[in-house]
Amino acid sequence: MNLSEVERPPGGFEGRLEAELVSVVAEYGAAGAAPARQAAGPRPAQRPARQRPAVRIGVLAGLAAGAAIALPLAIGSGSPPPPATGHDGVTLAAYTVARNADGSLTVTINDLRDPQGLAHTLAATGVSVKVTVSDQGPSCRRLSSTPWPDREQVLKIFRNNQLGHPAGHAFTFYPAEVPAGATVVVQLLRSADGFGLITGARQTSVPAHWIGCGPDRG
Amino acid sequence: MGARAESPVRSIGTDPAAFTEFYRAHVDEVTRFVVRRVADPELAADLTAEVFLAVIGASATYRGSFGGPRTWLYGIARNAIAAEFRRSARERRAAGLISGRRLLDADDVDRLVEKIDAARRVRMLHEELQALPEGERAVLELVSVDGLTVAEAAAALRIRPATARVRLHRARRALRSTPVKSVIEREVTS
Repeated sequence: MNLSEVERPPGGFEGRLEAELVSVVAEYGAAGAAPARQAAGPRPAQRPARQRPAVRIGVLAGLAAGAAIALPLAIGSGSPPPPATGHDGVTLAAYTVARNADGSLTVTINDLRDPQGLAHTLAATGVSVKVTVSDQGPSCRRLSSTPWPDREQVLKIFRNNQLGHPAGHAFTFYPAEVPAGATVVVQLLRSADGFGLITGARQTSVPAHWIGCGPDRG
Repeated sequence: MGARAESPVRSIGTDPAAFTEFYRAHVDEVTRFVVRRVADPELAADLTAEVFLAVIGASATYRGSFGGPRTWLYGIARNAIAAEFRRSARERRAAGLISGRRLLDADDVDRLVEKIDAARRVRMLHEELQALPEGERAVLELVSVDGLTVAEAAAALRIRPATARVRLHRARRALRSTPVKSVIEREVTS
């Protein structure tokens, strides 16, 4: 097998399996280590979110398949922001989620508290969302050197990345771009040297992606 | 890839880039390894996923191997598949991180069936070997079914080459009177 073949992303089953496995590796990387000699053991337990201003924060986001879901653009009823034109912000303890006129959500992450609150707010778009927190993320340097296939497809879902921005780590989430049947996974990571945002994929044909990294505000 | 402590293999369990490179270099080989053992495309997909999950779990303990990561991979693959066969289907569903078969579409199944058909003869050989004691079967399996050298098979199984040669000799002698003798002789000596 020559180098060009190695570098080309596989298609079909092999490509989808790669995306799933990369997602698993990214989770283990975020947790600090893969469980030794565990072929089919449980995923490492997520560590509880703690506010620790000195550390830097990263975000790992991805897609996972769940039950088949529709992708309505209308925000559901409940606590999330109602349909509105312009910006209609809802401030949570740790995140700000602003709804935009085009149905997208601008997410600003201030710290790692309240991942469930963020998940519930994003899930109100009708897309299945899972948010987890991990203490140790891959370093910015490692993220920056990570090649990901099909980057453009995932970049449609997460745009306007402003990682390390003085006003907070921000990105815009486009729920309408999420493939049917997929679950968005956002993993909040503390990393050693910066703030990164990775989109990964689980159980879908959208592979994992690194989409940005920047210095931490804190 | 070398066998030094900082081998990229050691980081494939936690570094997506390192894993991706390893996966793309070996996924076809692993799939062929699997279809030499099973004829069902859905099970083959599950086992392919399981082998790579085992690789991810074992990567941190990689200490280098004669023949490089490939022989290490074969040892992992063989153990992972054997472990899967020891489990019940229910246990597999409960424990598995990834259901390989759920990732299959019709084209994938067609491609897998082609590989399965191509491996038919050697898969029959693998089935015949099941009657042998485990230690002897393991060596003969890796040599005759998977095409490793005796030294590579020894590395994959973490036994001494001399031990592997003895077991191979015994395995061939045990099978000498069976209908697959000609296949064994040809595979081992080729």
